[in-house]
Amino acid sequence: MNSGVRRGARYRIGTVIKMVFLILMLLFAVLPLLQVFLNSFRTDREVKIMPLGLPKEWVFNNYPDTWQIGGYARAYFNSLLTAFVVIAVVLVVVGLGAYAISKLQFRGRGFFTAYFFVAISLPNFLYIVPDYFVMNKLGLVNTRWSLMIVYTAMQLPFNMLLLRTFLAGIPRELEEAAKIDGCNELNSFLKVTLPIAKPMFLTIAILVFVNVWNEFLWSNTFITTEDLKLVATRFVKFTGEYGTNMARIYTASVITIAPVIVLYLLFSRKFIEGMTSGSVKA
Amino acid sequence: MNSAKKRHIVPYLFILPAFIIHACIVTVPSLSTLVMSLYDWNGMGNAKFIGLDNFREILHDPIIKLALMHNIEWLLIFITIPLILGFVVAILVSQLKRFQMFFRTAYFIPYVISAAVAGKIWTALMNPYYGVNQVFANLGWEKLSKVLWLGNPKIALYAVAFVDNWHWWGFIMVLFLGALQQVDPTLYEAARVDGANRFQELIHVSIPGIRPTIAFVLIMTVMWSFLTFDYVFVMTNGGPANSTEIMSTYIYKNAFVKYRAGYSNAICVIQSGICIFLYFFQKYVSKKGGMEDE
Amino acid sequence: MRNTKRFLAASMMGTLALTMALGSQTMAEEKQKLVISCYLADDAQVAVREKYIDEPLQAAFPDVDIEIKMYTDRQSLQIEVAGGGGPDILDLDGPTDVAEFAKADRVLDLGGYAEQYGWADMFYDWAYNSCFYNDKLYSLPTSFEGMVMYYNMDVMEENGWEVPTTKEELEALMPQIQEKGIIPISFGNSNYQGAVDWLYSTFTSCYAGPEAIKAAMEGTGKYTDDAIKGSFETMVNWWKEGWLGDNASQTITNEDMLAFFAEGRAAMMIDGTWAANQLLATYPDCNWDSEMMPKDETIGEILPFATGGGYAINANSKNPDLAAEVMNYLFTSLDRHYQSINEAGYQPYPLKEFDLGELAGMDEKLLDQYNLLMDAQTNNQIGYCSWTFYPSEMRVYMNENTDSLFLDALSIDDYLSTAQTYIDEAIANNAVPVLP
Repeated sequence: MNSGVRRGARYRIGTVIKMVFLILMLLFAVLPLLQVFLNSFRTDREVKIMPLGLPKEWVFNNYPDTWQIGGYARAYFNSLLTAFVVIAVVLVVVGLGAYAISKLQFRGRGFFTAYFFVAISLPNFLYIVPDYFVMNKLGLVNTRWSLMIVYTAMQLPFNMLLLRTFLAGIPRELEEAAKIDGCNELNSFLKVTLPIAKPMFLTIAILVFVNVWNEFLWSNTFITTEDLKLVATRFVKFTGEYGTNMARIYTASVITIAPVIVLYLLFSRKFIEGMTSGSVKA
Repeated sequence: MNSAKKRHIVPYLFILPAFIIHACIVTVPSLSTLVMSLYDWNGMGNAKFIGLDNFREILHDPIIKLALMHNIEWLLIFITIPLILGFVVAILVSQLKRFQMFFRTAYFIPYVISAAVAGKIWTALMNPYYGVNQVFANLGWEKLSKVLWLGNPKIALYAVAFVDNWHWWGFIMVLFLGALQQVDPTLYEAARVDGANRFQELIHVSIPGIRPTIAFVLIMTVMWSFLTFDYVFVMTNGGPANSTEIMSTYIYKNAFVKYRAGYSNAICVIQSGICIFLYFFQKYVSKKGGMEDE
Repeated sequence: MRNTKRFLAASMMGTLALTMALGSQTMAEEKQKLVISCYLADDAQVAVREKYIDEPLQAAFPDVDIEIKMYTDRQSLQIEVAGGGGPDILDLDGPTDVAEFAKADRVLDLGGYAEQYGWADMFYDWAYNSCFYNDKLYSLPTSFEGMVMYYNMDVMEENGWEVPTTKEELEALMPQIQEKGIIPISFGNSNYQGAVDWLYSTFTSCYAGPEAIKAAMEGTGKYTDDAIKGSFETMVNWWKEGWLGDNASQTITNEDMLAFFAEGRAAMMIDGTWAANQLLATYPDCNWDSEMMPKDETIGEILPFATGGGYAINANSKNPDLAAEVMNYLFTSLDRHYQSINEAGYQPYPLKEFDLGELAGMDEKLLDQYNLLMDAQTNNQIGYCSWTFYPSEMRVYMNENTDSLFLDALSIDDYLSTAQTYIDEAIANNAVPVLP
C-alpha cells in the first residue's frame, strides 16, 4: 500500500514534468506567431524600431486598410476555389494510385513506387519555364486552369507516398474478406479501405490546402489578371508595394495565414473523430 | 473480358492517372530542361552546346563542396532532432486524456505558415539589436547577447536549421501521432496482460506498430535534406560569405542571379542524382536488413 | 462512407462546372494591350505612379489598354520572358542587367527607334552610352542617381561633430563616434546581399579614383592595381573596425539600416540618392543632410553615378512600335516628369533638357541632392557604380563575395584577380560598358 502511494506520487511528478515540457514546446511553437499577430496592431514606425514587444498603443486601422488595398476578398475566393479543385482531384487520383501500389500485385509496381520517390527530387524551377511555354501556347496562362493543373501534379508524389505508407499498415485480411464477399477492386477500395483511411485523406487535404495557399512563385508567374490572383500572390505583391510599411506587412501576414489556421482548427475536430471511429478494430 | 484479365488491368487504371498527370507536367518538362545542363545558357535565349564542361566545372567549384557539406550537416540535424522530438511529443500527447486536440493543433500550426512569413519574424527575433539578444542582455547574459545568430558564419547554418525545425517537427509529430492511433489497441492490452511496463510497451508495441511511418519519415528526411530551400533562402540566402550555402540556394543563384541556367541545371542533375542514389541505397539496405518500408 | 463518395462526386462536378464557367470569362479584348513591367514601390509611390504615369499614359494613348505590372522578384519576369511571354516594355535593373537579356536576344535593338525619335540627342552622353551592349542600343536610362554620404545632423550637432570633408577627417571622427556608443556608418544587407555594390562602387570611385577604374575597364590598367586594392583595403578596414555596419551588417536589413540612421543609432550612412525619398516618407522628422563622400585629397570629391534602371523592349512583344512610342512619350512629357519628381521624389531622367528650375518649391533637401548630381556632372566628378558601368559577370561575382572579404573568408588579392578575369573576358567579347 505504501509503495502504491509512492508510485502515485511519482506518477504525479511524472505528469507534471510531462505537462511542463508540453507547455514549453507549446510556447516555442506559438510565441513567434503571437508576435506577428501583435505587430499587426502596432504602428509602422514602432514595428521598425522594435519589432518585438507589445503595442504601445493599439492601432486597429491596419486591418481595414490592408484588407481593402490588398483586394483580399476576391483573392480568398480564388485561392479557395483553386485549393478545392486541387484537393478533390488529388484525393481521387492519389487514393486510387496509392491503393494500387500498396495493396495490389502487378508488374511495374516497384517502378511506380520508385518513380514517385524520385519525382520528389525534381525542383520546381526545372519545369517552370517549359510549363509556362506550353501553357502560353495553349492559351492557359492567365486562367485558373493553369494553376489547378500544375498544383495537382506537384502535390501528387509526396501525398501518394504518404498515403501508401498509411494504407500499407491496414491489415490485408480486411480487403481479402471483402473480396471473398464478392467485391471488385474498386468496391473493396471504397467500402473497406476508404473508411479506414479517412483521417489520412483529411490530412492530405489539409497538406494540399496549405501548399496551395502558400505557393507564390507559380501563381505570381502564371496569373497576371488582378481578378484571378490568389492570396499568396496578393501577399507577395503587397509586401512589394508596401515593403517599407512593416506593420501592414504583418497585418497582411495575419490575413494570409488566418484562414489556414481556422480551417485546420475546423478540420482537426473531424480529424480526431475520424481517427477514433476509423481505427482498426479487426 | 474474363475476370483474370480484368484484374490484370485494374491496378494500371488506378495508378496511371497520377502517373500521366505528373509525367506530363513535371517529369517530361524537367528532362527537357536538364538537357540544358550540356549548354552554356543564361536561362533565356540562345544556348551553346558545351558537352560536359558544366560538370567538369562542378568538380572544381569549391562552393559546391561547401554546399554539399552543409546539406550533409543539415541531414544529420534533421534526421535526429525533429524525429526524436516529434516521436517523444507524439507519445506524450497520445497519452493525454484531455487537451489532446489543443496540443496537436498548436504544435502543427507553425507548419501551415509560409516560409516567407515565418522567416521574416524569426529574422527579427534573431536580430542583434532588438531580438532575443536584448532579452539576454537584460538578463545579464553578456556572451549570449553578443551572438550574431545569422551573421556569424560559424553559427548561421544552425540558426536557420533551428527555425526550419521549429516549423517542421510539429508535422512529424502529427504523422507519428496519426500512426500511433492506428496501432491495434488489442496489442497494448495483450502486452499489459503479459505485465509489460510503459517503456516495454513502447519498445514492443508502439515502435513496431508505426515502423512503416518511421521508415517513410526517415527516407523523406534524407532526400529532403538535399533538396531543402525555403528557410535558408528567406533567412540568409546562403550568406554570410557562403556559410549557409546549400545545393538549392546555389542552384537558384546560378539560375536567377548569375544568369547561368545551364550550370545551374548541371547542379540539378547532381542533386537529383544524389537523391535517386540515396533512395535506392536505402531500399537496398532495408532489404538486407529485412525491413522493407512497406 | 457512402457520404464520402457522394461528397467527392458532387464536389468534383460542382468545381468542374464552376471553373469552366469562370475560365470562360477571360474574354477576348478589342483594345490593343501593352504591358510595362515595374519594380516594387511603396504605397505612396504607387499612388503617385498611378497619377503621373498610369493616368497620363492612358490619356495619351486612349486606344491602348496599358497595364503596369509590378514584379516583386526577378524569377517571374525572367521565366515569362524565357517562356515566350512577358511584358512589352521591361523595366530592368540598369545596363548590366539589360546586357544579359541582350545576350539572349530577348530585348530588341533600339537603334532604329533611336534614329526615328532622336534619342541620342535627348540624353546625357554618359547615360546614353552606358546603354550600349556590343555596340547596339538595348535600353533607355530611366533614372539618374548617385551614391552619397548621409549625415544625421541631430546626432552630429548634439555631439559637436563637424561634417568631415576629407577622408582623414572622417577616419579621425569615426572612433569618436564609436566611443559614444553610436554606429559611425549604418550599413546592412541581410535581405539583399547585393547591396554591397553600393559600398565597393563608392570606395573604388572615391578612394581609388575614376581614372583607375576606367583604365582597368578599358584594358590600359588592371583591377588589381594598387590604387584599387588600396580602396578595398580601406573598405575592409572600416568594416573590421566596426565603423561600417558595426561588425554585424550581415544581420541588418536595408530597412534596419535606414531606421538606425534615422533614429540616431548611427551617425552616417552611405546610400544612394534614392534613399532621400524613403527618409522623407518614413522619417519626416529626421534632420538629415547629404554630401559627396569625404574626399581623398589627391583625387578630389567624386560622386559615383549610375543609371538606376533602363527601359527595354521585349523581343516577344507583339507591338514593338507602339512600345517605342510609349517610351518616347515618357521621356518627352516633361511636365509630367517634373511633377512626379516634385511629389513623389522620383529620380530624374538623365535628359539634357532637364531643368532644375522647374523643381522650385520642392523639398529643399531633395533639391540639394539634385543640385549635387548636376554639379558633379558639370564638373566632371563622375564615379562609376557597378550596376551601370561594370560587366555583368564581374558585378555578380563581386556582389556575391564582398561579404567574404569582411569575414576573412577570401583575400582581397584573390578577389580582385578573379574580378580582373571577368574584365578580360568582357574585353575579349566586346562587352565592356562605355565609361564616360
